[in-house]
Amino acid sequence: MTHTHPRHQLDEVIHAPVRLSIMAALTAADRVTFAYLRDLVEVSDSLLSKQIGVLEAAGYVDVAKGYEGKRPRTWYSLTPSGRQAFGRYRQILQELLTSSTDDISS
Amino acid sequence: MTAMTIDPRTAAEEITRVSQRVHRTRWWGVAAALVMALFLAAFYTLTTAYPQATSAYVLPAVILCVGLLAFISWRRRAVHSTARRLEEPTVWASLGLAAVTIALKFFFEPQGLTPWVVLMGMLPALPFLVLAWRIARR
Repeated sequence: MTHTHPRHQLDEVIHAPVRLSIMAALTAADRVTFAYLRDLVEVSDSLLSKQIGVLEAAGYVDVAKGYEGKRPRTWYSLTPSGRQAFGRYRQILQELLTSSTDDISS
Repeated sequence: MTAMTIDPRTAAEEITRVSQRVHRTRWWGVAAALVMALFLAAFYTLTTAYPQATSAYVLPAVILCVGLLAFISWRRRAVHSTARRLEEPTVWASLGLAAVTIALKFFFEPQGLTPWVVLMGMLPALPFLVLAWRIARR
């Protein structure tokens, strides 16, 4: 069976509930802290770490660990390939939404 | 959203939701820029207009400013690309204008709180006002 429907082009690394939210957050800001991401996406520390690990392994996310005074801070940002991948993902998503609206109206 | 799948409409809505939440955090960057602008304008204006009277207040004012900036930095959990790109050039521009203010003060030796003293005092603050505006607009 050939996969010609646009939904088959959706990046599976991005198209998952928590990872999608992470990518959307990192696109909107240049970099965000671990704690902010966890509260924004509303998941546990361990689940967030696991999903970020998947994005990091795919080359989409950069991790920077440092200190602010004595407080350790971990910052996340998108890599250039992550930004590109998310841009493509949004394009395909838009195509899917447009085609489903056309199907309903026709 | 279910555990394993998302339909495209839900995905698009989630992207919008997250983007809007993250964009709201830019106000911390705006606050930091405005604190710097206010401090610099007040510092240069008042130390030029009333050098003797304000000398005792400089250190407490600096401590207050640093304290506010530290608080904002602690609360700031997302850094936006505009802020990251413009913060360093803003600092350099402000330093340059501060040098101009000091040079003008040296050559003209202004006395008291005059409109010229206020304008001179505003110069180093201007880059931070521009930064605040650039971060605030979407």
